[in-house]
Amino acid sequence: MPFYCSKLVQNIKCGETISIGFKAKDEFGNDKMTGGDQFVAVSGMLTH
Amino acid sequence: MANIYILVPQRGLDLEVLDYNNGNYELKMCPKIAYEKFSVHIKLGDQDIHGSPFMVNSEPGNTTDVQIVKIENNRVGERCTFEFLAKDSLGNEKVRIILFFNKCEAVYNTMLYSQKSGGDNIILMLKGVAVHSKIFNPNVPISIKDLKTGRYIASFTSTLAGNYSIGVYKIQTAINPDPVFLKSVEVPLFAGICP
Repeated sequence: MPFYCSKLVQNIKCGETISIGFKAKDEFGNDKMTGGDQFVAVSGMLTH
Repeated sequence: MANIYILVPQRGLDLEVLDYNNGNYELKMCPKIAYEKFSVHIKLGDQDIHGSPFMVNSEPGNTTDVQIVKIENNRVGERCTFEFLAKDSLGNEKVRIILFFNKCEAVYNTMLYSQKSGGDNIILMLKGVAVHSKIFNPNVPISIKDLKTGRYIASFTSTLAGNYSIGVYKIQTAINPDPVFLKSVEVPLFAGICP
């Protein structure tokens, strides 16, 4: 089930909030019409 | 249902994912630390989704505080240096301001000078009271050199010792030009060495 991004992130200021939109599709490219997928945050990435 | 992994910097980034229950999701990010540049990976299994990783530049927020970090040679007749740090509300360093006092000549009611740097329009307001005088001279010139790196070098002259106060203000926008007070820094100017 591929996900597709609809927005790109550029510059943001600390304390401000930005967002990235995603659209879920199935393996055939059809738009998924339901939610429920789990997002898991993993920290520890290098910053540069 | 799938598990989607969001790989982020080690700290200083608030995350929230909204599920609109129609196949659309929204990842909201709010950085607390100015990393300059970092990446956010969003993965389905071992693979980045289309468009990932996302490169982000997080800059310091608006200046809301200043802090004096260095005072050197604060005697009348000597070249006095004052260095200030300006920070945003989250403690990220925003700009540096350096002041040089050189042969201060009077006492000093109010002095305004503004200079843009790093997106801020900074105003310095100088007030002072001499040890044996209450004369005020609002015409003491103060100059500021903008190093274009977030640092300022400023100078004025005086020959009277006293306790000085430097108010640091900023102008929010050209539409709203009223200066907003950030902080007042107290600087004593001591008598020089007897010849």
